[in-house]
Amino acid sequence: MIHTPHPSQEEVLSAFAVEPDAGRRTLERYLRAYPQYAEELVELSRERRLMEGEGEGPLSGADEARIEAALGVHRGDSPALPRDPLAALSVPELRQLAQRLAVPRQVITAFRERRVIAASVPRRFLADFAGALHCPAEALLSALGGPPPSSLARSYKSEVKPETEQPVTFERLLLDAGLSAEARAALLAEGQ
Amino acid sequence: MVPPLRKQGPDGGVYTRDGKIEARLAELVALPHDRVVALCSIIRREDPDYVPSECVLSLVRACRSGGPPGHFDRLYRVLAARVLRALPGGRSALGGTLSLTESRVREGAFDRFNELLAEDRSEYSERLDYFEVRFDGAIAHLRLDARRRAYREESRRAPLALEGEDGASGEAEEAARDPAPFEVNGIDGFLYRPGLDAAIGALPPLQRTIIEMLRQEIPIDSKEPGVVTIAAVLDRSEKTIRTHRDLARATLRAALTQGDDP
Repeated sequence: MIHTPHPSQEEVLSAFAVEPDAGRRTLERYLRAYPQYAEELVELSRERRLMEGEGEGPLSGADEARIEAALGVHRGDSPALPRDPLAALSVPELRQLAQRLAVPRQVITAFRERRVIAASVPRRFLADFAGALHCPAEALLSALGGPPPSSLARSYKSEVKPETEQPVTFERLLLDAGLSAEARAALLAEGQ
Repeated sequence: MVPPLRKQGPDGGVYTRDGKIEARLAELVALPHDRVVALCSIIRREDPDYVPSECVLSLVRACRSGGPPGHFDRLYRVLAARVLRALPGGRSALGGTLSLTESRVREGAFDRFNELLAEDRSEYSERLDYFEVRFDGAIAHLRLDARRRAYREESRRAPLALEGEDGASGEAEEAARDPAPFEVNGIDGFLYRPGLDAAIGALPPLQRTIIEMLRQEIPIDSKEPGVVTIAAVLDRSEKTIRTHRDLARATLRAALTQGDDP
């Protein structure tokens, strides 16, 4: 427990985090002492409880790749964790990727330029996409949720400043790309 | 000789490892490196030779001052795998089944851990010390920080949410009055249905806090002096707490029974 008169939220949470037992009695003790941090303490208690269900099974291939990438950073092999797995793709690679995912190239381009609402993309497609890029699904998700790389900004020959295209849903993207209803249904399937 | 931790706690004392951790570390540092890696690679906690993660981290940190070629790499792989297993989705190799939020928590917490480790490898960082005191608790703290960032990034919508005393939407109030498809007694049996954690995670903060406190069997109100109650801790009236609880229950019921109808 803490003995300073006005401990910060981080101090209180850190102290709670190292408690050997984060059960009800400990939580009550902290809630009584620091009601001003009640929400955070309850959330931290919840995280500790949720962790009890995490497993001991083998890691996925994506996780193994993630560890190797992080290890490369610690060893100094690479300057930083790869943040945008789409940025370095060459045109032939883009073509191969589109073929492998059974979508027109403009769909891949839309992903590259962050014109797709990431939350609307079925998880199965995302997993296939990440697999084709040889990167962890989390890295792809993170990249899709961020801004487009400036080096990827398309050049416009218009004399007026182009308007930023608003992201669309994955389904809208497939519709606009002219995919058949059958092809769309296959790509939109969530899988197991 | 295992070096002591350096971080000072709020009470002025220096953080210390558990006695069992210290004793195990003293054993490990006396063993050949290959044997240490082999022991650290044991995954099952029930195995008598299992090495606690606090020890693995300590051994990884010790590589800062050198070691045989490849020793850090092998220990780091063990440690990183343990971190990933303790993050959302760690119970399954099927990363594709994670929600977007949980994926962000997983990635954010893993990246943050690596940032802390990188800092420590450059120069001793006290910020890793409390991972050697209680690894799981420190990881839970990382998860919480990552979850907060994920929520902020997503600017989460809360269609049935109300945060004020009188802010209940008509839709939410109606849902809360619906006959429950799994009516319950006492502490609410619905709190233990599969898939519930994700649904609770999507609740507005106040409702999530109330539901989590109920799961810990903390009472909403009590006439007994000294009893910790939800109403007192959250500084809301008993009626307000019950209203939010009912709204949360309606939201969870809707989320958990989606697709149940023929």
